[in-house]
Amino acid sequence: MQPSDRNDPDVRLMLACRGGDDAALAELYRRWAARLLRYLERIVKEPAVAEELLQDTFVRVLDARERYAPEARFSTWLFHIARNLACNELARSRSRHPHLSADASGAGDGEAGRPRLVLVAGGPRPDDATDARREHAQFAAAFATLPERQQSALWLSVVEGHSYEEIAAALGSSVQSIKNLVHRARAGLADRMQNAAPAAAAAEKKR
Amino acid sequence: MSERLDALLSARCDGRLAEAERAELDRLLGASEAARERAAQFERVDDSLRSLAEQPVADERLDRSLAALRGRVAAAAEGRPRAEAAPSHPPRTHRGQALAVGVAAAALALAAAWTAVLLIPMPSAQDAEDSVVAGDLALLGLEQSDDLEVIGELDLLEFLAEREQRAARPRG
Repeated sequence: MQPSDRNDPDVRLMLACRGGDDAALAELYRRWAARLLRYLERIVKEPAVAEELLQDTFVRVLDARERYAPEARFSTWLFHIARNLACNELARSRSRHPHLSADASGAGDGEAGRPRLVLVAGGPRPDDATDARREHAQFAAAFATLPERQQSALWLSVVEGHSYEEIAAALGSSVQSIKNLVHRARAGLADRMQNAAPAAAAAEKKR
Repeated sequence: MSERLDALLSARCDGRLAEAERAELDRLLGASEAARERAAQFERVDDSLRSLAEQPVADERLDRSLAALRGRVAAAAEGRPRAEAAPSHPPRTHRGQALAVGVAAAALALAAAWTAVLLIPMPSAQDAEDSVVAGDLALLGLEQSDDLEVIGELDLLEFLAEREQRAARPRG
């Protein structure tokens, strides 16, 4: 892994944070909170829990500031912390609600172990805008059914632009494994969206 | 759709195609309408995910969370427990962790008691505490058991408190 650039604003802020500059933590928060929160919400699926995990992530960052060494991209480290916390929360949640574990792990009653995508038809006759909203909701539902590792790998690759090597470091996996995870996530989503389209059209036809 | 085509398309989306793979993919795309449709599906997946990630987050949520974070940091600096730091949400339960600690403590207690049972075949008055422990275990039907799941279901605190009370009673 290449040493991170010390001119990187995140690295400079983190080093300032290590030096005791409390304002640097707030600035790091402002730079990353929204992106982290969106990621955490997709993983844990509960906005309130995601907010608390967001705070937990920055508490961990603060706790680790003395040991921080800019050897990797700051965001890789940040998402690594956030993802670990999210996984711990998912594990706790499954132990509290074992009946939900099948949903969270991506297993379900759909074809070939894939959960069935439930489409809800309702509201006024769709125009372009409602079609877009419906497709957006369908995609969000399909993404939610992916196993967490596929979700994280695809999110970090597509949304955060992390390399396979960076994602491998964040997920504690090999580069080849990450490549496979990303590929399976894309293929799974493409299949589910393809299957969802005729179902949505049929539901629309019934109305 | 073929696994190989999917793998090549995904690698292309991430800019990770080797030269030979690029040529292979070009051949596949040139030869098949279905392959081109699959490529379009993969691109739509990435577009949809980016769109999902661009959902706005209300400033008030971020501000509220930052305020809670500052409260937690300040509380930690003052050595206050987290509960006083105005959490933004009800604390999550840690039943699993508590159970694990309970099981570990029970295992230690059982190991100590079992050692006592093995080392001291006939408990005497001088070995009151050990005999009490062994007696408690016998009452609970645990003298032959090392099943930690059973131990984990016991009310350990009650068990230990009772053991201490018995040990503290005057002998005789």
